[in-house]
Amino acid sequence: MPSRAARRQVFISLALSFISFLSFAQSDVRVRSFAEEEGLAQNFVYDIRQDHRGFLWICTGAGVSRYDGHELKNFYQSDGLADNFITTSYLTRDQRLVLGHYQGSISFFNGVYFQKAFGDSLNSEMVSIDEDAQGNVWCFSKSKGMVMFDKGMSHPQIYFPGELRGKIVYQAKVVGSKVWMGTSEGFYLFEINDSKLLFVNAAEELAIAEITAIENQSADSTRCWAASADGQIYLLKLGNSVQVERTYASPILSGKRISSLLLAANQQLWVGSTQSLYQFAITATQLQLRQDFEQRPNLQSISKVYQDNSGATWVGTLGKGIHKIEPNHFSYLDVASWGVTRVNGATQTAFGYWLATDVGLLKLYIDSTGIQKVERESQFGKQEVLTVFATEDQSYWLGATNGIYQWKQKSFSPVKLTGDDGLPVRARFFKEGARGTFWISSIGNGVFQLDQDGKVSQHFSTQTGFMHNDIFAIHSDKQERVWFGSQGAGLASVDKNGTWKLYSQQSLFPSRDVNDITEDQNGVIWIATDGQGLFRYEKDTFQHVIVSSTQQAGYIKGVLSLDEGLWLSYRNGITFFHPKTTKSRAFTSADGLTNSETYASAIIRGANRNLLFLNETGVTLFQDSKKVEDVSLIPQLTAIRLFFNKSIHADPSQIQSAKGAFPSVELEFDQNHLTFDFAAVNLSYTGTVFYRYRVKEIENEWAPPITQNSITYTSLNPGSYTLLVQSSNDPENWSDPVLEYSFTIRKPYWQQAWFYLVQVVSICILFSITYFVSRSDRTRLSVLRIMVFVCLFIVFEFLQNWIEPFTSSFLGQAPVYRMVLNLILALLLLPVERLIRIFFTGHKQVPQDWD
Amino acid sequence: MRKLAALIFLLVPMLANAQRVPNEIENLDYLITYGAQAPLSLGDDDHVQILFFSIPRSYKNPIYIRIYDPETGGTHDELHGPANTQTRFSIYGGKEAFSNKDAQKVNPSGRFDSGNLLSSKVFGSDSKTDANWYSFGPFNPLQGEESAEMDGYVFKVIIEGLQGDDGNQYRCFLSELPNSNRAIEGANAFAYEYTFKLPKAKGISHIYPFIDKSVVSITQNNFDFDSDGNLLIYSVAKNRHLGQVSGDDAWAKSKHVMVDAEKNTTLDIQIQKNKEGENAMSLFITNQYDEAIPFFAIPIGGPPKYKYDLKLTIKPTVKK
Repeated sequence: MPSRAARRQVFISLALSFISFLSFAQSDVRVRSFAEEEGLAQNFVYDIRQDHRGFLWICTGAGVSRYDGHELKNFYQSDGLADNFITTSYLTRDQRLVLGHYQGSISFFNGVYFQKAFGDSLNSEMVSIDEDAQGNVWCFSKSKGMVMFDKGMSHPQIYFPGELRGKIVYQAKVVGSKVWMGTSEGFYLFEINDSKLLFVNAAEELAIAEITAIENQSADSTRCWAASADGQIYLLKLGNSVQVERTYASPILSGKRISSLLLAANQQLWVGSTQSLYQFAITATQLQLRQDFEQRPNLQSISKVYQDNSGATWVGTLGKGIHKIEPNHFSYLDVASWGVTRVNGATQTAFGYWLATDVGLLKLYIDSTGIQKVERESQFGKQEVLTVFATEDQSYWLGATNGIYQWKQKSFSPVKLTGDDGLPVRARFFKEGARGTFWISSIGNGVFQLDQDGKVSQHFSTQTGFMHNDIFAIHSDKQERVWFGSQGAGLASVDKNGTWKLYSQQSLFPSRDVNDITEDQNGVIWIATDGQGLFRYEKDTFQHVIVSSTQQAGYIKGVLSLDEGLWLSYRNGITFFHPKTTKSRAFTSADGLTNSETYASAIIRGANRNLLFLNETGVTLFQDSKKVEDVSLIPQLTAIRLFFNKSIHADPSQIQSAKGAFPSVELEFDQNHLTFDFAAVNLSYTGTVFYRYRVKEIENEWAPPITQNSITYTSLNPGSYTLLVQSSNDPENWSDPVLEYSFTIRKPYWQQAWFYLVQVVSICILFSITYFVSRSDRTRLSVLRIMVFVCLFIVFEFLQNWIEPFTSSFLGQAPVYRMVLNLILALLLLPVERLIRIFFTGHKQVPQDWD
Repeated sequence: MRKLAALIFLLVPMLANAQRVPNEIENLDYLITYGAQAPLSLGDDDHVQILFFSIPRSYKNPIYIRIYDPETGGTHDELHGPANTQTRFSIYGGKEAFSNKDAQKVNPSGRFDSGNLLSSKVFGSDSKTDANWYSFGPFNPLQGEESAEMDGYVFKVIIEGLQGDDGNQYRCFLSELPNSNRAIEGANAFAYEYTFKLPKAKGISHIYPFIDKSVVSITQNNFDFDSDGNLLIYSVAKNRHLGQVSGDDAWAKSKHVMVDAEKNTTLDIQIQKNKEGENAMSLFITNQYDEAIPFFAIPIGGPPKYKYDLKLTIKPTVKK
């Protein structure tokens, strides 16, 4: 019979195990929510749609919200919508966003503004919109039939098949020439024939089922998923008849009203119900529940599940806004419940992870679903373990407060290694060197190099003239040069010939606090410093590298090079950096990191290219399978306004020809105070977006970066302009594509050729009349002379205005051409007068006193 | 009507179960709708029941319209032989759901089903919903018809006896929650005609029409009361005014003049049942123009209290 104390210890251990299991059992996804507080038009979301430019359109009961990754902009009836209540949406193949409304009206967004396409005469909620092979757009109402538009969203025709009378249509889809419908009395199949809707068949087995949601079976147009109001999911086979090929009954869905189905990649089925959201894996015979979100109070009353182009899942709810579900880049292994207040080190093993902590060595057992068990390695009990390390050949080393250990078969065996003081060496970290050598950085005793036999081959300490006894970074590079980084003494290296370089002490390297050193594929050495940022060493030169100003860029605790780039750990986050493009992506708590203050740690490379980031009470794990993609921010012009006010509507024919882009506009001469609105759309990036801009014709340099997404130009002269806008997540790096938008401000009528011509003709007529009614030759000659000169002046004025827009490209802003033209005019006056004289001499005697 | 809306929203929040139909304060156990083949003599004059729920503008959360025991054939239902009755419950909102004149008539004719059909379900005999709640929704409050009169949004529930000859007894509740009844502050329920089941025991049931300032007289119309007792009208100015009561399968009506003191107040029409046993009946009230007057699940301003008009004359005494 175990003693009471022993029983209590067992109980505490079990309780701790349970608590620790709970702390690991966190979801592999993160959920971002958007509600009215975040700017959503309403918390009742009915449909979600991403357009070709990347904007996410969120249809609510009180307007449509457009989301670009940073900002929600709402559009209402005052913006051209037929109604504020939007229940369904569709993006046509020619990039029109068609919206169906609650009362049956239909609007569409042509890329610039909303237009009403159909009124609310149906007085029935629009439930689905789809497009047939001919480009006809079909808008299905809940209980009053459907409206079909031709390709240009015109000529609406109403159909109300008899088979649908008295039934509620919950969802409809057009697939090729077939129309699928889920109704209050089963599933119906129609065929589109010559723009007419013909009934084909109904699913007899589902005659009494309320089919509330339907979904395509990937590219297979002969199969369809259907879900019912009582939680059944069916796979239907569609031909001339509709047959239930398989019924999937999941206990968790029983009795639940399914409102939305989404078939995602890898045969994952998302099911939204009036209760909650569920994710299933589809197998040959059943649905395997992968995740349910019943415990998340915001994920209830699901109306729509939608997947955007990046693969993130968006969930619309009735009353709780919209939610983005995306995989966590990072998973956090929390061991605080084990009394850990400091994680000193970690390494990945076959079973999971070893964690060196201030309360002993912890063993984390992991399988594909996450951490299953945590054990404390009994050999060290609660003794502090300083570091643990796995070599490439899976040999394990451990540093404890009483010495260094190496894994031998089933336990750690002490390695006899003493420092200058004769005491066992306390290891800070281990590092593999060249040619099978091994480095040990000790606390207060410098560094030791072990040879292939495990014997100390070199020991560097201050007693032997080494720069410091506490080394924080060691790296053995491809040229067999060993780099050392310390706090206080900076950076040094020793080559294979034993030649030392003390970079910091010789002022060749600006920092004296080095935290980490790594080497990339090209042999470039990267040095992370405490306070002065990141440096690269190449061709005997150090170069300071600006990563990003969005984090505390100077304080880099760890740097690790992988094939695709560098990982950097900061005090308040983790950054991924591309050396080639110099683009970076900062990860913060918004990306699934926990407490941002705790990432001031080294980065440890685990097995399978996983990365480990240590912090006080656990380890953050980045799995290599979750690729980090570049933050690509391509700006889109969203509106042009007349000096902050009214949006300019482009010509519909130009909108059509622009194929989804904002069309070029021609503005009147007095519409020359312009505000341009733009947005860099990226639904995955949550950080700050910087913009820079210029108008090519009037600015040679980019304006300083701004974070607001609109700019205003005033008093623009008539002419053609090209607005350039570029966006970036890093104000120091501008490598994303530039938005080029051309627009024209027309000349006023008095500066146009026809007006000059009218002037010349009018003057000619006027003077001709005067000339012919004049009796004396002298008067006639004077009139003729004035007429010729005035016409000449008008022609030159026209030439000046005509040439002016082209001169800036070769003369700059200096008004040299005007001076030149005036000079030419002056030079012309004399020959012209001479010509007039010759003209008169040839015809009549010139008066004596004419000169 | 503006005053009415103001009164509703001022007074209703004080009442917890404002949205149960029929309401406890009415002392009616269930509403009842008979199948289309049921004889009128059972008490249902048209096999259709129309109810309205009003939601205040300030309410922004999902609403649910819950039906207790919507099926026919189990507990609480009036069966005539094997259960064979189907009842359709339909929820309407949007334009004209309430404002269409046909929707406010006592006879289901013309466009009484006006508005935007939001949800509909036919119930037959079903053990799942027997003596159990079924929830329609969630609905966006904006899906109701916007009504200036009610200062909010109005939803309409139409209950139709489709086939069979049984009586489907049920209750409705406008709730904030899908799985339990939580009243919405400021909401109310009303109807222009009620077909209901009187409690089996002897007792008094109440109907609470609101008399607005335009009403000069009312006519109470009752059907198939089986002369089980009395129909009494109480108000601030009427104390136990007798109304005509109907016999079996027959209508009865009586006209009552409204005095100024009764304007913008609620009447209490008491149905005094003096016999024990089952009895279903229909009732509606019209004004002087034969337009139906709504009665609310809970009385606007509370049940009326008769104000005694004491005419006191004080005569001075002369000391001799």
